[in-house]
Amino acid sequence: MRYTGSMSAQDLHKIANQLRGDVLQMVHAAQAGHVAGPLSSADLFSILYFGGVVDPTQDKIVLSCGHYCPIQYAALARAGYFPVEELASFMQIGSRLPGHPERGSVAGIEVSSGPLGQGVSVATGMALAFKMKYGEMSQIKEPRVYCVLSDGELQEGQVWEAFNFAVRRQLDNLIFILDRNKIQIENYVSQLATYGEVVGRLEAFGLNVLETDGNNIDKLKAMIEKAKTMQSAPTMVVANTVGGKGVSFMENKPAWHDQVPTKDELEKALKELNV
Amino acid sequence: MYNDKYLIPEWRTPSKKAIRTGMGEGLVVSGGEHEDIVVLTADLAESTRVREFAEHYPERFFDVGVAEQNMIGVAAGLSFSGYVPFASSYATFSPGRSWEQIRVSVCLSRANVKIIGSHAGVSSGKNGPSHQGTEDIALMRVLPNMVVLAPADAQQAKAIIEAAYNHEGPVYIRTTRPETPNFTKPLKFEIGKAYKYREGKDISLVACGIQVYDALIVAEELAKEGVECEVINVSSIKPLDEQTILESAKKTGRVVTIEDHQINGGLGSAVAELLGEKLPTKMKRIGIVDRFGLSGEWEDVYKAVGLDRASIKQAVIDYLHE
Repeated sequence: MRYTGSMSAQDLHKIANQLRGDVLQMVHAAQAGHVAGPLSSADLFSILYFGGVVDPTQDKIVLSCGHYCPIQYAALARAGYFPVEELASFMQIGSRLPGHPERGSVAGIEVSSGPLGQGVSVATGMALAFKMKYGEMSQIKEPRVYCVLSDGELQEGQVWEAFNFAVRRQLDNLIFILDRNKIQIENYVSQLATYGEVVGRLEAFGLNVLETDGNNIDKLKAMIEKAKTMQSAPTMVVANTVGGKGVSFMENKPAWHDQVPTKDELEKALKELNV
Repeated sequence: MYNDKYLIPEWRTPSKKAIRTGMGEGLVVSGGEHEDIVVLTADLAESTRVREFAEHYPERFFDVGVAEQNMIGVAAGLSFSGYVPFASSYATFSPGRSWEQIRVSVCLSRANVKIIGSHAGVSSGKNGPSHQGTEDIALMRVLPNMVVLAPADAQQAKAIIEAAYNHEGPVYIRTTRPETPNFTKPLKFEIGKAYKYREGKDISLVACGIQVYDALIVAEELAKEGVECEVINVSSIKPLDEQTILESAKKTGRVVTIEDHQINGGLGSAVAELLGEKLPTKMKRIGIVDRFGLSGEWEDVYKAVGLDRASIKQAVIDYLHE
């Protein structure tokens, strides 16, 4: 189905679960791909593509954590960028939906990503270009760049290089959304390279930081709307989420970072998601 | 015998100018003609010679600080919005440190980004091997969609900027630090063309960068000993002008490559791959032979690694007698 018009929180929640179901079917059909992140960020993608906060005629959505791509493919398909049936071709030879995003493979894929950190810099360059083209006028009239990144991704040094630059250039047309699901491929984020603390570090770098429950449609949508009003620096919306959100046996388990559901698990999951 | 279409009349006694300086002049000229050109650097505006562009067009110049990986990503983002970015640093840092960003954010995305690697080769001298880019041609040549250019003098470096601008897609431009002979005529630069500067029948000297002039002088000296060298400037390493190199190899049957770069993966490898597949020819690769450079005056470094003119000449003679 296509979605149009004004969406209530209930509608957006329903769409998010449909996107989750799309992701699980894609990964099951491909017998490869990532699960926990796409599911934790489904509410965010529902808001970005169907919530009316992004202006698709001028704004850009950049996915930096490229392994999340099944959720973006699902959102693009459901938003009418390409036929929903094409989702079944995910990762197959000749498909327009490769295992990690490749710029221009379908409309709406703005950046090639996968090696973590790269999309953050590219989004920063896109925001800088908008500043040059539209001048230093208030960001309220200017196109914006929305960049989605993951909390494991914050371990890449390039991300902090980009934050330095974006802050120094006062790119307030740049809104980062951190899908902070607290797991990564090997373990919980707090068990590996850092203790998992993010807000203080991001604030110390000079970003505007807004923290919220990233699996609560109302709260996350309100926070992104608030980010659009922030000035003088890029804003980071820290969206605290649950890895594998929406499927009880996948939630908050690092193993589901990239585990492929069996047929039984897929059926059980789709039932839980009510799709 | 010498091609006066390409060489200035006084090429035997030329003035000197650094290739990096010629590149910087090209940016100012092309930047004046094309308002979509933007320039980035990672805290090396002065020594990579993009300072002059910055002074002419401050609103189109961005110093990202000491952060080469981010510089390449920002350049890709700017290109996606219609700008034509030239991103400049030392070759060891970019493309050295920023290689994977160039691979994915630029090449996989077919971003219209131009990368300038300055202080290439051991000719960068005193700063020592950590700052001498001797692997950059190999790193860039292996990437799909990337064009690899190594100008032979400041004049060519100046013209290369306009050619890079006119090419839609990623381009790598290799520049060097020392003042070296400026001996070619101001001509439009053609990507994919090798320039034959001297006709000869006995041996083909195939060079890039500042070694092209050395090859001309070595050819002049060998002519007195009865050896007629063909001298070819391969300033476009990728795409390679296969026809010109093959015709020359067919004529002389002997090919020597000369470059200030590792012999593994650079110009010598590109020529060896071509000849190996299409015209097996015994050849000799002169360059940095699987070692690091060292600190010192660049002429002394050249003597130490065997890239000074006398060593090049001796290597060519040895090869002729093999």
